[in-house]
Amino acid sequence: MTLMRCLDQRFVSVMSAVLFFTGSWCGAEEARINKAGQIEAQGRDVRVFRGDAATPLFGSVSKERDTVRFAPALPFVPGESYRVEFQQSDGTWSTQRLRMELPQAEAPTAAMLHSDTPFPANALKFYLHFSQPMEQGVFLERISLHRLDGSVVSGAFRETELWSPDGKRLTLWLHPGRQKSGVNLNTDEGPVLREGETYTLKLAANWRSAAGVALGKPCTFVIIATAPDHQCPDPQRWKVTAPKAGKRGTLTITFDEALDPAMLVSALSVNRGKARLAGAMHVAPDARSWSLIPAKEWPPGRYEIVIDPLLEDLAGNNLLGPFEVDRDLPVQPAKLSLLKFEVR
Amino acid sequence: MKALCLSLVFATTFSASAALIESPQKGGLKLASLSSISFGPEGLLLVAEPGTASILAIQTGDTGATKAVLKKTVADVGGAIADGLGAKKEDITVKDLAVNQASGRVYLAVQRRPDNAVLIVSVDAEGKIAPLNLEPLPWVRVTLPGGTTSKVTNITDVAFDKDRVFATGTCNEEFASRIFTIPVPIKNGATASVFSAETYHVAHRKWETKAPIQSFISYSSKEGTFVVGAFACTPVAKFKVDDIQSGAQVKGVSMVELGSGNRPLDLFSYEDKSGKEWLVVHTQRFKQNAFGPSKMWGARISMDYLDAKAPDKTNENAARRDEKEHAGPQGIEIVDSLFGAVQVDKLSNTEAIVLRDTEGTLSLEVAALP
Repeated sequence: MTLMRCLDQRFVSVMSAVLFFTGSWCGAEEARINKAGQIEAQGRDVRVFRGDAATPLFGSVSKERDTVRFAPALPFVPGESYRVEFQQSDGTWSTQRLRMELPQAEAPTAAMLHSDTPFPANALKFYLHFSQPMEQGVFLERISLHRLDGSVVSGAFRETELWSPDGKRLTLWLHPGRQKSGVNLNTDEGPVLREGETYTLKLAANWRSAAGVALGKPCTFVIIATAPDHQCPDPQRWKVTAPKAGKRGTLTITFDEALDPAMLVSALSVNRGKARLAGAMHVAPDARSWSLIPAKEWPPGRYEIVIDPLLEDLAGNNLLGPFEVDRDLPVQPAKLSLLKFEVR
Repeated sequence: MKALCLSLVFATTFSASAALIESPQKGGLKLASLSSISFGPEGLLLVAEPGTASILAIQTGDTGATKAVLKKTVADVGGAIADGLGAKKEDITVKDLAVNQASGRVYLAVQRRPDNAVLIVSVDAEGKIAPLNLEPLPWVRVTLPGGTTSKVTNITDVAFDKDRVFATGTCNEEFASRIFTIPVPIKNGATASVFSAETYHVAHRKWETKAPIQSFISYSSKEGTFVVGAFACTPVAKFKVDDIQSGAQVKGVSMVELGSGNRPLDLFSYEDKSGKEWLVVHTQRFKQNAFGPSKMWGARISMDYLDAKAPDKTNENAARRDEKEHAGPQGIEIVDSLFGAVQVDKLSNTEAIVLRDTEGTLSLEVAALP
């Protein structure tokens, strides 16, 4: 499995917070944007509009001696043109049009874990990673899933938009109503992914970063659907490669299947006695292994790997039970959530 | 200093709701993100800020000497907001709508693209739109605890209920419901209690342990206090929340199934002229609606269904809306005035405020409740 990156590095134009004046100022003092992001100039009053809009921008006007300032409720928008109307000291109004400068900026790139590798047909989610925070509220219009014949899988995604706090990672849920066995949508529409079929996940070229820079060309990722997975992850099937004592060697856990890469970041920890080991953790791009390089040399002794029982595989099965669970059946005991190893 | 587009400055003093929040911060609030908003008493605005996994409680001071209700439809309200934010109309999303019952004023949570900047605007009885100036307002923030492997990144709803605030949310990586409670007075820096919620999914004939609550109301009866939640695909279930400890798992009871391919967006309850109580479920269909002009629609459900206890009326035996009829079974009916509504909140027992989408143009309207 690979972490597929989409798009080469390109540079496109975006706007900075620099004003270009495109009209005459009718003898008034030139306006400028101050450090606080406000428009200011000499005068008695000011109104600011987007383009030829009839309604002015939300914001406040303040006056200090002969200087009048307009503070927008939200920062000026990259790429937009504004119409500024100033009232001069003699009471007359003059109009000036202005726009932001368009500096050079790097286009965003996108990557996806597991692309080009098999997904269980009952997979629940994909993680899309972007190099920059992206614009929100449009992902359903910007992402599409296609079959090999090019037809679109309609209604493939859950409508809820889940971004990481930094705005760079989108958790893209395949529609649970279609992916869960026996749910009404699953019965009516069928599952999103079918075993043995290959799909293309496509990101539209016009999806912009939060800074207003579009991807520039479509991003595509190949999805290969394999047999559904209804089995819980079982740590007894994992392989632990212990490091040697006295060195800062790598502890590696190799899984028998890909696990949820986002959860892996915090689901595993290594303890010596009651003390948690500090170090640099790494999840392999294919999410089939996890490793730790300790901050200090490994002392010889016995260690424990503590596993959060909520850790999931790609189909949402965790150590406590499969994603689709019939509670009328006897409750299965939790799977092993502790692994032990020794450093010699 | 004067306001160009008037920011809200209310004559009411903030001390009126001093008992609702504790150790408030004095001004300076900047919103990083927005999902749901709602009002408590005395103009207390609750804001879900998913980017910081927190709930904000803001004393707006908008307590209204007299309740002033929107007098006429505000046509193209989306365009007017876009103009005010210096953006194209298609770059504006209204993420939620809340009516301040104290004043009748309507509040809209707005996000602008591409920069994802957020703002709350209000609409007065005359239809005048103004940004809510947070700068002078007292506020508190409460963090919602995440899971062991992930943080809360999606807050689906928030609501005030007498002596506590409820919120519902999920974590990015986990597909599970969480119910949060925050005691009132809401103390700045407090941490909410959290319960994992599971309910019986009528369509599965299985316990649905992993589904997010989309919207909820609190509900009290002789049996106690409940959170009544609506889930995707699409049971309405209730969770008893009396005397439970933080970290506990709460099992819900499914009361009604709305039918295949529906995604609930908002819930509210009201009492009709005859005194009968109804639960309104505002919903989005995945496909064209069989009984109306829009995929956005609503149904009302007799609150009697929420009191059902017998096993033959709950969970796998819960009432199912008849998808082939406008109404039925008895006590479940389509609310025609909600067709096309993208956001809804209760105004009174006879009216709701509706943000309606007509071929891409948003209007703010008063809609009659049946």
